[in-house]
Amino acid sequence: MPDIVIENLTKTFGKGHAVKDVSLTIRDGSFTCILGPSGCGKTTLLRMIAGLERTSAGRIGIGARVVDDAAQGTFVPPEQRGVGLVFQSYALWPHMTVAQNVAFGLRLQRANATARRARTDAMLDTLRITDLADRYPAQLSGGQQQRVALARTLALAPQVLLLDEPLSNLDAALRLAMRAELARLHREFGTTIVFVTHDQWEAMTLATDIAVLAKGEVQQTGSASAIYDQPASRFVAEFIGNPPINIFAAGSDAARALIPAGVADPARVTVGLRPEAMQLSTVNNGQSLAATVTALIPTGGSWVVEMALQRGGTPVLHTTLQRPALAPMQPVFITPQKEGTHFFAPDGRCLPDLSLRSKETSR
Amino acid sequence: MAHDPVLALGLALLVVFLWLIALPIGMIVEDSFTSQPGDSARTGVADGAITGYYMSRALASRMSTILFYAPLWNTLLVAVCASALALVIGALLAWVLVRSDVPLRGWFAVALIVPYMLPVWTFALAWVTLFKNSTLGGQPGWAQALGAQPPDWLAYGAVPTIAILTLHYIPFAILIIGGALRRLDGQLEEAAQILGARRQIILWRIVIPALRPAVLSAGLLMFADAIGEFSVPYILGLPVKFETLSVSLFRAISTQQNGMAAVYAGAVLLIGVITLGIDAWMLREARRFTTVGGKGTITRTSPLHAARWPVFGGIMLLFVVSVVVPLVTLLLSTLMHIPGRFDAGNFTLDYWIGRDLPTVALPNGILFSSEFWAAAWNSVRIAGMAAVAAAALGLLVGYVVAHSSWRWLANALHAITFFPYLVPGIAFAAAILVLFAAPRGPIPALYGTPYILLLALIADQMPFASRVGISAMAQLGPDIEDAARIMGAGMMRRLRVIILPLMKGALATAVLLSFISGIKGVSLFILLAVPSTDVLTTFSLRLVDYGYAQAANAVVLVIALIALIGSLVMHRVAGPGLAAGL
Ligand SMILES: Nc1ncnc2c1ncn2[C@@H]1O[C@H](COP(=O)(O)OP(=O)(O)OP(=O)(O)O)[C@@H](O)[C@H]1O
Ligand SMILES: [Mg+2]
Repeated sequence: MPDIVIENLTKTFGKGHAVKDVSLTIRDGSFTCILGPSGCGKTTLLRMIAGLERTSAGRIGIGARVVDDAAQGTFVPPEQRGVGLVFQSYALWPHMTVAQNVAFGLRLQRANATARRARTDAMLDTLRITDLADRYPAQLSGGQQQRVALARTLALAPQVLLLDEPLSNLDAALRLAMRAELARLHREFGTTIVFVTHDQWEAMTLATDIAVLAKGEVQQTGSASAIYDQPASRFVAEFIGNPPINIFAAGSDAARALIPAGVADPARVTVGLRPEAMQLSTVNNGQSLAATVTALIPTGGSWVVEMALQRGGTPVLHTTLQRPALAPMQPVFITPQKEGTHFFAPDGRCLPDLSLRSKETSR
Repeated sequence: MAHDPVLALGLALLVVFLWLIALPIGMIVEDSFTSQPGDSARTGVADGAITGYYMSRALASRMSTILFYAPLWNTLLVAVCASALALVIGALLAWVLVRSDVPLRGWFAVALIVPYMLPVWTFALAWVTLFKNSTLGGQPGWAQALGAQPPDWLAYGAVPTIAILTLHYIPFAILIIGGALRRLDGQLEEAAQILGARRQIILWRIVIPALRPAVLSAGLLMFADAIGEFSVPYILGLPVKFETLSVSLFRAISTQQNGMAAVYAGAVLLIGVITLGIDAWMLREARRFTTVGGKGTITRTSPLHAARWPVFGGIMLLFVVSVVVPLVTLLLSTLMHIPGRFDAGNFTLDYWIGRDLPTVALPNGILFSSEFWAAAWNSVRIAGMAAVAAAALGLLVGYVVAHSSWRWLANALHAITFFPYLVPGIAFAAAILVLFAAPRGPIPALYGTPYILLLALIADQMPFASRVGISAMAQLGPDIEDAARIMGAGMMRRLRVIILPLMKGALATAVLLSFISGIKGVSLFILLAVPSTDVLTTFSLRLVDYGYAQAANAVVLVIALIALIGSLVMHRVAGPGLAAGL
């Protein structure tokens, strides 16, 4: 299980940057997710790791070996990197049966017929697609196609498995099943797995490590909970979380009310408040924000309360597991909890010391 | 990236096409400005020096009217009339076939396309067989044999040329306009109907404007094709000295006036480029009409009421005139000793299977004549090899265009492989002739060998073949191939194991279509073939020149049969849209 070390990686297409100065270490044995909005360069990054795309600048190392170094002119072609890539589109060869798809790589490695058949059968069995062996890809469902794509890649026992949005085409139930399957493969084959997605749910549920990417740059790396609890920037705080974090613009009455006393320039600080990190009550305890309930939205097992602040601004959302004892048009008072309150400088950076201070003052 | 195989492949293709397409065209344009061998007395400068002699002789001399302006006028007259007539008739028929309740709609939709599948000079020969008069020597025409004397204007020249080209292009107009009409969203009309518009208004304000791009485009494509048409004016124009530019070009080459030939080729080329330039520009404009191309599936049919059977009769008449009459005429003509005499003793199979006939040159019926089989074998061999080669090159072009990170290379290949489309066949053949008439560098003189026909046909098929390759590769997407690459399959392996099997369908279509058009093509070959390298088409024209009308007609029937069967197979396999080709 090799580490993947990415240093100052940049990829330009024409004038624009697809990936910009990315440095990232993907730990041996980790199940790392690269998470970011559409078009932020995730696929490009993955293709560079696989060797399907040359880097414009920077280095990529897999294990002890440098596989791409733009400055030195080093470039190890994809087939020599020991990586497997499962494409976003699966890219199954439509003119080959499932078994032929899986056996193709082994054929390229000149495995003899018996070894090839044994390995193919084992793979089909592992992914529970043995009965589909003689079908063509067009005759398979999306989830089945994905298993074939995985089997095809895993048949070559890659040291590194790269997955491009692996679950995006599946329904919720299949996602859970595949998630379990990927986790099992991770354990069984001891493969370093890197996958990219724009879906935070997929990232949060599967990954041990997450790297958040935006506009080709790494915003933050860490575990799922660390990224949720301690976002490094307003972008990360807003990108992760559903419903998204409530933002109170710098200088607004609500923001002023939430910023702890003694801050040098409170008018320039933006405040974010996680939807679950608040308590609603019908009485004012002095520290709270006055609002009016505008809607109660059931989301299956939990509830979203939509409120309008009395002083105006964007609507505030609150999530709760209990059915709220509230009715639309009812006045409420919002009491923020310090754990879910984040403060951001005008450039979007998080102000962690401020968050700490606000915690202290609350005790 | 010196070791980038895609780049290497792309550059190799570019060199091939520069040599095969750009170089000959460049040379013929140059020829119209340089003194040709043996002309120095007239041009007043040494051989190979720059001269304005040919241009001024064509454009501004005492001879200009005869040499240039009359053929130019004839060319434009024929092209404008034929394409306009075909457009009007084709548009009406398209509407009837798509939107009305005329009986046998589905059958007509195929049957009316047949004239487009036949080589166009089939009709010319049928016309001559029927209407030939005593102006031309030799055997009489049927009308003459039956006691009538068709006037010259009916027998030869502009009128029959226009009539025949019109009949030939009508199916093309039906295909394009009918296709657009079928895609036109019926809801557009319903929306207007709900607003209270009457049928007349809907037709004039909604349907016709929405179809305008398709109609104009069809018109321009027919016009461009007619400009380069050679065989019909060649067969029908001679007796009344009716020449179009392509015929003048042919005569100039046959009489070794290469400088003048270059001027004619340049003129034809220029008209072609301008026409298709307008078409490309209009297509870009037409993108703004998102209506055509919508997926309106429900097309309502309008009842014709009392007009139903008269309309049916009219269409049936057109079918009879454009398919049955010419084919039957040709067939009967090959079975008669003396044309137009319908008594039992006059019928014979000699022209097909006779032996030791008392003629000078062709002592056997064509099925027993070695020249026929040699020409047939040449046709099949050359058209087949060219079709396969063009499809393979098209596939490689598609591969490079889809994969090259060098945009200029992709664009250059795209543009250069399309170029022959702008150049009428006979002008292109003249250009190829200039290039290969003499040995150049390592390439020996190819004139007189089958290779010159083969190369010309490959180049001529490239626009279509490369479009097929590019669009098929684009549909394939890169992932399919990258998935094999990441496992260690090299470029050749990927082409063989992944790309080729997936492209089988598209390639087969491209090969078959190219083959058909190669079998029935004449204007490309007429300058390049010599008797020993005759293909069926040139062989049959040679027979016409020698006055062996029956044998010529028999050969044409064989060509028509091959083209027809091929097209029908195509129609079955790939649907009518593709049969339209380019
Ligand atoms: N071959 C290319 N040529 C030019 N630009 C490209 C190319 N490939 C990607 N880009 C650009 O690079 C940026 C990143 O693309 P990439 O495919 O990596 O995005 P992504 O994060 O995978 O998006 P998605 O979630 O939609 O798949 C985009 O702005 C894209 O337009
Ligand atoms: Mg992507």
